[in-house]
Amino acid sequence: MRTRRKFIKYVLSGIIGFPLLKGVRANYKPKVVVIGGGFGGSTVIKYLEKYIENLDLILIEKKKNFYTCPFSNYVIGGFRDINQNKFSYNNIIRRGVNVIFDNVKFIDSENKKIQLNNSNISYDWLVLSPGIGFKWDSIIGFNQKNSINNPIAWSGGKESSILFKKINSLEDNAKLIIVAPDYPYRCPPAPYERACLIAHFLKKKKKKFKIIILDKKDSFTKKELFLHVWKKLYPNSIEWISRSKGGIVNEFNAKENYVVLKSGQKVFGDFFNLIPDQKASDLIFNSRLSSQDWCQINPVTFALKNHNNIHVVGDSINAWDMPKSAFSAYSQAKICAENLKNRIFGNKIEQPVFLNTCYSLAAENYGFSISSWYRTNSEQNRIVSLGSKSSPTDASYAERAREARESYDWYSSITQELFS
Amino acid sequence: MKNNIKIFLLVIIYTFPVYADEQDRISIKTIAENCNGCHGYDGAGVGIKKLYSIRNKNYQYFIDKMTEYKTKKNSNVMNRLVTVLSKEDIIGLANYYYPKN
Repeated sequence: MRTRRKFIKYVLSGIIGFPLLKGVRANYKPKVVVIGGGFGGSTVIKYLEKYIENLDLILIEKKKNFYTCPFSNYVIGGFRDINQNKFSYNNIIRRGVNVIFDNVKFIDSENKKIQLNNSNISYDWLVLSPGIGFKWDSIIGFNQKNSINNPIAWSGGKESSILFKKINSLEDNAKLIIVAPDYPYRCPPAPYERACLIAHFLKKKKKKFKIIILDKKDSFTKKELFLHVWKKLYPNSIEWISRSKGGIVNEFNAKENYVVLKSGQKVFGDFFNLIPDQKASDLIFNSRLSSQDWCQINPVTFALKNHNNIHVVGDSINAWDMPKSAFSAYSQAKICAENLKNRIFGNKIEQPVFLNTCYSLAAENYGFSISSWYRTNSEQNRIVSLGSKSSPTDASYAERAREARESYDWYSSITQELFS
Repeated sequence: MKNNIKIFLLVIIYTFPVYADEQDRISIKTIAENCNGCHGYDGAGVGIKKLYSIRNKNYQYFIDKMTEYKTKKNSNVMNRLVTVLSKEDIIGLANYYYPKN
């Protein structure tokens, strides 16, 4: 009985799968469009390129150059040139991919059409890797307009250089305020690494300073490690105020240079880096692709819920236990590309396994990391961690220096793979 | 007649894609593609010096080194990553990176 039921299921799923076989019809090349050329989108492109003979592969990206978010804190810390984080799409074009530089205004999922600033384009299959958007109402008084003078610097690029210039111009005894967002957000350790690297730069300049991190959370990734290195490398210079100790910031006054805590207390500062709460990219909501803050996806194929021909990877998705990081996006994108290819050509769907390793520097040659493997749960409806493991708190300077070097090597590896 | 029906149904099964009831093991290739995030495309290493290349070692060295990572305690990122891999995974990865062994 069970076998017969299973057999009927197989036959039915075969019939349902029949339209997908158009991908292998003679003279028909399914059109796969990838939106967003960051780590997620570029990885999907790299892994679908192997099938370029049988696919019409298009990347849509609004910027001519990609500035990586990883290592942008090193620019803010004054020991990396922003141009070292810059990658062009020339090699992807050279590899045979059709790259369109334009802004996507709207995705018409019903008619499988993408509205660009300058044209429209259709697709058979769409992969989205558009990154994050900000919840501009999370801090009253902080908006897109005044964020120009107080850059968030959360997407790599020139904002990181602006932030560095501001830090470089600070006087002695400056008070710096960093406002850390609530989960989930892109690159969970970044606010704390940023505090370290700003401290590293100011210490090198022999400045006296105080960094206050006002946090919406009571804990954060690699907390023990950060608390340990703050004490060790920057004693009494970095203060973390958690949610339960009053760290929630309600308001920002740009004119008078203060933030207002939930308690009503004003905290004045000479420098502000406010990082608002986050959600999926605006494109997702403008195109009515998600009613929740993050895209709900199938963790095996990365198909978007209720939109079977659209797949989403990277920071825009709810990836359950996986953090929003470049490595996560890269790992998800490989599975997405593999199973998208399998769907198009009617092959067996691969079971996923994911990896994330996230390095943080506390000084130029002082690094530590956290890593985890991930897979789907037995119901295949969420991604679960197989256990995060961090560097030990009692590591020697030599071990920290080695982990810092490893971070550079990881960066070289991933960027060379995608952009060379 | 019965045989003809059997053949027809078998053709349907093996021609059409099957997405239902897939609970297969994770493939070694899928595991390896995550390793390549640090070890370069296809594990071939990073840059001109081919840093961290897996491919330029050999089958036995790979198994010994991975086993060492699994059993010895230190702060290396590899120690942490290898803990979840089984002995079979390590042998599978060795076969994947050194197919001619």
